[in-house]
Amino acid sequence: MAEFPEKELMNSGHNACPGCGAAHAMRYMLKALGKNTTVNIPACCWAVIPGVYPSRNLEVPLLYTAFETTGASSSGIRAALKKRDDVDDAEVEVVGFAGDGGTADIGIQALSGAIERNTDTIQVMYDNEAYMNTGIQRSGVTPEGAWTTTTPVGSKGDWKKQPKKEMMEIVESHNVPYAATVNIAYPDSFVEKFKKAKEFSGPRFMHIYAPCPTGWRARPSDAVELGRLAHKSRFFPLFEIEHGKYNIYKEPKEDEVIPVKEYLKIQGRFRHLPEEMVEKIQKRVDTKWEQLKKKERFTQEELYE
Amino acid sequence: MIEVRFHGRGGQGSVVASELLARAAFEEGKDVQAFPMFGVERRGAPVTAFTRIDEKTVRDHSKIHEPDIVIILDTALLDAVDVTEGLKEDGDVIINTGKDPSEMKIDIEKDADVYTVDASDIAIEHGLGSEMAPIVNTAILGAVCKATGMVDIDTLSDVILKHAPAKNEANAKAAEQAHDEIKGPYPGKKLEGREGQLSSQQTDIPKSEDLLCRDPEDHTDLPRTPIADCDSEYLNKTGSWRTVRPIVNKDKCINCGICWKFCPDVAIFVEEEGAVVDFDFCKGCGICAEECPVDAIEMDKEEKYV
Amino acid sequence: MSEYKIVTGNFASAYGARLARAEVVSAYPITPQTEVVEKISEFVADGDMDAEFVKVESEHSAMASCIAASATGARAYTATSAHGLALMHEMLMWAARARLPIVMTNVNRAMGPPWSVWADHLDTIAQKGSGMMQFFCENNQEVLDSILMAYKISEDEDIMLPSMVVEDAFILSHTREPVEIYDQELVDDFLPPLDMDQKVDIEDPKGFGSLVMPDWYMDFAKKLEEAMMEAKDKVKEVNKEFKETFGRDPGGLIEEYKTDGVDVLMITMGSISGTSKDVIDELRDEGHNIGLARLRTFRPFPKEEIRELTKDVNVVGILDRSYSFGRAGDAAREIKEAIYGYNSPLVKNYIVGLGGRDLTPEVLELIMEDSLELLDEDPDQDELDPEVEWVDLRIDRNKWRR
Repeated sequence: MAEFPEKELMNSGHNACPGCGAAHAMRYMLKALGKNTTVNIPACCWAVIPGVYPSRNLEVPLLYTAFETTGASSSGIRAALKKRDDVDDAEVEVVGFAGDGGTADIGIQALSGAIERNTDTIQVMYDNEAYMNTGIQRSGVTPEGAWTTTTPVGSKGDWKKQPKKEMMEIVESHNVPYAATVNIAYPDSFVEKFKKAKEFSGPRFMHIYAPCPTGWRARPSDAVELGRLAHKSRFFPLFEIEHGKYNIYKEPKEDEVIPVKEYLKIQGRFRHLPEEMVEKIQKRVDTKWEQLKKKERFTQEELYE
Repeated sequence: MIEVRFHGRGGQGSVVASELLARAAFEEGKDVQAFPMFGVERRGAPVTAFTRIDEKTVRDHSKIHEPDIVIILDTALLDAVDVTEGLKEDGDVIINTGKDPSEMKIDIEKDADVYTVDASDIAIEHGLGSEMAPIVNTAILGAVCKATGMVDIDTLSDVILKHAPAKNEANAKAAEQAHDEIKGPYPGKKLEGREGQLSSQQTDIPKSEDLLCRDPEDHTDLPRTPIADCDSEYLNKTGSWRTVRPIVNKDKCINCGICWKFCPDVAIFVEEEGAVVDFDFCKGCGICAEECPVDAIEMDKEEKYV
Repeated sequence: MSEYKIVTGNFASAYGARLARAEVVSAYPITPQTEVVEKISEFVADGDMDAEFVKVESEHSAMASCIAASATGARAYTATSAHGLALMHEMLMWAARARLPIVMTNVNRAMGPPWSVWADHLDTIAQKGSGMMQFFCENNQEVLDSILMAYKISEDEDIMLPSMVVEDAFILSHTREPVEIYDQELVDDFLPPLDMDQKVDIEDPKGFGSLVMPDWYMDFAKKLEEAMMEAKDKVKEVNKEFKETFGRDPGGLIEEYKTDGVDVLMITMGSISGTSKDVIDELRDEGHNIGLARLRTFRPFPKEEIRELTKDVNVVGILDRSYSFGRAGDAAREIKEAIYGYNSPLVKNYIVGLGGRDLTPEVLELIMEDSLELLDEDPDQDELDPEVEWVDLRIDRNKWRR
């Protein structure tokens, strides 16, 4: 507990659903970054969570922006801070805080632009794996096999057919100094990695695993457990990329690793999946894990030593 | 024209209820309209839905401000929402509760009637939803048929069989049982001094100088653009969303702070005597109970504490 | 020291942004605006302009980062054209509703398909309901002048609305004319640094642009319109101050050219106005009682001035370099609406110069003669036939040649 910051910069009285992982995400992030932070938020759950006018629930300034503009807005805030006489812009962290759709789909152009032009910002994707604010429609980051309201399964088995878009890889190909995945089920390492991100300047990217009990058709009380199972099953590996160097952290020990099935089965959104699809998902998880391990080995040993 | 207002919670099926009622009336040759109140309500948050029924074409698309009938799916809402707002003098109130209508403290005119039905119990009996979160929308409609005579129970049953989203037969049976078990009418009475008693609303709104923001109700001299400057804790008592509440066993609590760490609503704190829940904001997600390493927290039905 | 340079409209825009000391510039290249971006890049690279230039990946992001920069308290500038402006559409609405005093140049260009990079006002006119002010320029000097004025009007605490300064593609954007580049100190006196009362600030954390329920939204929309109405007087006031400071009169809301006691009033916008003034002079020399009004500010729309100008006029000929499909040219439509119930001249709408079609003195003279001929028509007829005429189409070119 010693390391975990007590100061709350996210307040109660917000409009997140019960058990909302995105609420955890904001709370832990602000604990790590502190009050010298600006947050710009596009259309997403977090555009509604702070409450309707005149309510605000963050102790940092919040600029609401249009859906596809997070990266560009971060660049604009940073540029303006550099021109402000009353602010030491190096002391302020500019955070773009978007959902998976706002980051990986409609916002990917602005994200790519912002990180390519070396904006000094932390771009956050809080990933609840669908358009949750509009009511659970598929995004490019929705995992394969999932039910959503636009992949409604139906009588023809029309679940999400495509695998999850890999934003860490897309971001890494922009040569950013630091990118990491974090999981709300592990608040300590969550805070630690955000603090680490803060140590870098330039464009940084944080991929937050933020379970959505409402959209995943799970019990609100299982929000944290969902995060834990995603990690233990290697469905959502925790790793960071520092100047191209991959590092897996909190790696589950071999005897701790659980089958993906354990993770899928407590979520209504996967309930329809036939056994062979579960196996297919397991296979992809295993392949991706092997790839990640090889990237880690390659970038740490062969490439850099 | 009959205008109906449903009070429920996000996820409880109030909108489906408003549609099923409309469908049943339509089957009986009426013209109908069903619509939700569009807001930002989330799972557990109070929501409203409406049904209009008329012999002639329903052309009015304005909201319903003075309903003939109010249907309350969750008694905990009585404390959170002004459920009888605008109810006509001779209107009907139908409440999902195990209590007798005479026990209900509802602020209405004496010509209005109160009915109760234990729709939760009936729903659980028919396997609709869970014990903690029964799905009562169809059952209560059966009671509505009996109380108001708006539609015949057989029509409603047929509509549920054809149009309910799931478990059609169980839903139809629940409606029929509720139709038979409804209690009432019981005449209404005006209650004194109930104003400002709702838990979801700030009853002790601090003066704007203490809020350090504009008075949220001040419509004069508006700023040029809405700038949110008022602390959410003053404006949004999300405790009213709760259908279950965490009960801390202080003897078991080891003050580890894990509940505090994992609370998405910042609504549980570690004090010397153990974990303390802030019921103004706790939405009852149950993460604290799930994550507590010594099982010192249990979730209990909220309605027991209303 | 003030000096004259022979520059294009685009360079005039760039010099305008530089003299205004824009602090954040965010823009994306598009023909025919490209030179604005290039020139500002040079200014910044040479240390002649102390601005952060955010080199974005689209026009949408250009306005988005201007909005964020402006909300954080910086004076922001961007420039675009046609398809770029259309892509910005969402953010133009956003800038206006966020009440941010961003100033931009739009180089008026036709919308495709077919691809056309030439002058046409529809790109700007299509944004008339966005909540941005719109200033149409006749020449390159006015482009520079209008940028300075636009900042002063936009940043006024009673206004706080974004502005669009518009110049015609190629006709101004790529045409070199002498432009007075004013002394920086003089400009600094005219336009003091931006000091916003509400901005993104870590010392005063607030939420900018949160969700409002239906019982609030409309009231804020009304506040925007009140600012627009207020801006009419502000344009006149700033125009006067500009004239006193720099000795030049950009024309306020509407420029009147020989309008006293005329029988026929022609109304134009943008670069065709200069050519039209020459033709007016010729026709007046021939004894025709004709004058011209140049609509300079399309938003806010100067309806009172239009009413006053058309009071004793028998015929009004309105030239629109754009067309609102399904109805008419927008200037004509709005002018008719403004005078309804006040004056009842015969009103004819000429659609001209779409996609860069040249407006020669000859064509303009034929248009004005057409209007003069309307003096012989029954002044009480309900509607002219045709009410709207497309000028100089290939199919009836002979009509528009001597």
